[in-house]
Amino acid sequence: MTDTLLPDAATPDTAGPVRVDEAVSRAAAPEPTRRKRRRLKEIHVHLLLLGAIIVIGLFPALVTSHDPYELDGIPFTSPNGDFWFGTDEIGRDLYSRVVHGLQISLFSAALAVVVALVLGTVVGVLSGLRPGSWLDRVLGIGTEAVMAVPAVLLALAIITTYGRGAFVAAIAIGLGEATGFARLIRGVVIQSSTFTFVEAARTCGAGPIRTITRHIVPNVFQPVLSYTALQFGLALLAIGSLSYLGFGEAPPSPEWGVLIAGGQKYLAHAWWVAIIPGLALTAVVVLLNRIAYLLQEDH
Amino acid sequence: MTTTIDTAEPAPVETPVTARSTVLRDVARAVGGKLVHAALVIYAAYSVSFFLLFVLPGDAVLARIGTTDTIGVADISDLDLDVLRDEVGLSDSLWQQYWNGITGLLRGDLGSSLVNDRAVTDLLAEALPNTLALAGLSLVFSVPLGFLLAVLAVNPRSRFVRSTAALVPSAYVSLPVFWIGILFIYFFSITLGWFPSGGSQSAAALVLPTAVLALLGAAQFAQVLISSLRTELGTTYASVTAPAKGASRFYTVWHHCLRNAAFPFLAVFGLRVGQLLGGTVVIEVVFSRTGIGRLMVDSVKAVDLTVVLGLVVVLAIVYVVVNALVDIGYSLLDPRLRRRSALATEVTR
Repeated sequence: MTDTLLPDAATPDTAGPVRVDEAVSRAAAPEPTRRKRRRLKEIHVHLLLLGAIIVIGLFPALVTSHDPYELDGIPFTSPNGDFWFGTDEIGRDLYSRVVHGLQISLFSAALAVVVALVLGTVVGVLSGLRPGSWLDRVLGIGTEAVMAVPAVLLALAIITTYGRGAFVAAIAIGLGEATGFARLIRGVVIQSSTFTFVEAARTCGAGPIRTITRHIVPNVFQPVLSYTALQFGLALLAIGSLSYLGFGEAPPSPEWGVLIAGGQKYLAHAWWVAIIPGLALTAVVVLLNRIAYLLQEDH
Repeated sequence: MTTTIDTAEPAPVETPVTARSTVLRDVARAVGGKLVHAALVIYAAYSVSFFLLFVLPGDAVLARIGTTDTIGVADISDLDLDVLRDEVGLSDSLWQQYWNGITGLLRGDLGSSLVNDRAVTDLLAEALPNTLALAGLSLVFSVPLGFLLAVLAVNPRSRFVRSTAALVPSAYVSLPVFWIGILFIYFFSITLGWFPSGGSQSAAALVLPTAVLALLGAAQFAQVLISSLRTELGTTYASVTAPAKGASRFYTVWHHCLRNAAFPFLAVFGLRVGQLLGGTVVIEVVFSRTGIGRLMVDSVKAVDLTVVLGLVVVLAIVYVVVNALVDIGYSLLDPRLRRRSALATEVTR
């Protein structure tokens, strides 16, 4: 009964975030190359899928034959050969609507992540340069204050003043997510000043810009990238929630949260109108989380 | 920080301080520091949300009249608008309003709604019990469920059970919470007819929203517990010492590892409370329950700035208080932290 303990503990597999230092120490130990190669392959497959999704998001007409706004069919046709996902309450093709909705979701989430990344980097670098200084403390308290407000609520508060819409919603979500980036980047900045190779580079006469771009950034790139993928998925979910509540895109738009909110009324006799857009959202978020996990694990 | 003891006591030589009282003093100092920090965070949260909400000269008074859509603004003269703004205090300068808000907050007065003049504290008192019942119940269920999943993910001999129990939580947290709510309505309410699909009157209506949120909490707890349990199982005491003395695998996990793994869990517990309150907002709308969520959505639609501000501040206070309690509990529960502080005092003296 106890003999199963050792081999299992020695090769912890799947799920669960792994800290950078842990991963480094594990990579240093001899690891079967077959396993490594398989993981690399897995990353490539996932990135390829993400690329396909982005292409479909940019050019939705490539894979759809119906217009997302035209009343092409009989209302509430269940999924069939012509209307793959069925039709909605006024006979629009749900498949084209879902595919066209991808564009809005991806764009909003990307905007949110860019806002979070830029804001988080500024705050993180400013507070990480002199840890413990008054600036660091003030920024730390500010970060914690924003974290204390649930993300959806903060976004709703911003929408109250600046009006509804996908643009405002995305920026509001980005503001909430910036706190995580600020903490991550603060840690990275503090940590990178202790790297021996940074000191070595300075000793060799490298200027601050060269040190940062050639030595620090390549080393901290992977955790930040992994975190970005994770936050991208969370942004998709948050933007979906906001438009479900009615504060993102307005109803004729095929945004996924809007589709789900619209379909909920007809759940009893046309399940597909609300369920299928949710499946699409889930699929994209699962893919992004998986990429975040693989990036974290692989070195 | 422990070196300041000398300045606190002018004659330390005659009265040797026992280890116990220094520990207590250290704990008291830590608790005091945490409280000051918590107060600062609440103040910052209030300021940030105040300026986000009030920096634009909002026309909240138009919502109060409620004629912007149908009759139009032309119906009301500017003079009337000014009078109305005076009445609700929106014509004061920004700093005046900010000062009034802060002093009001200290008195426990969050102002009154711009739309219907009711006190924000009254509105909150009406909405909170429903939300707290939902959030509290789901927390109660999610903790044991999370522990169960975590033990299932590391303990059983069957690799299939382990990997399934490890996969389920990470899959569940990728699902949109409002969509899970709709799925639950479809399966358990429309298809099977077991529970009502919404409302907040009966206890049966509480089942589905509680289940959605409890599962979400359990999944997040399980994720943290699984990763810390795996770390613990890799340590010498779990992989060598415990088997050597004849402890079964389950005994090792349950008795030795889970206690150590519970500390990261405690940290996540504090964060989870904040997310839970955010999730409740959405879930309450999905299941058309009355509560904080409904109040928030209605207030945002009506541009009721004071109610929105009040809600944001109250939820921030809940979050900060829970996290401060978790922090304090952390240092009280972990014998290592206590011993370390005692040791530090010994060394510095």
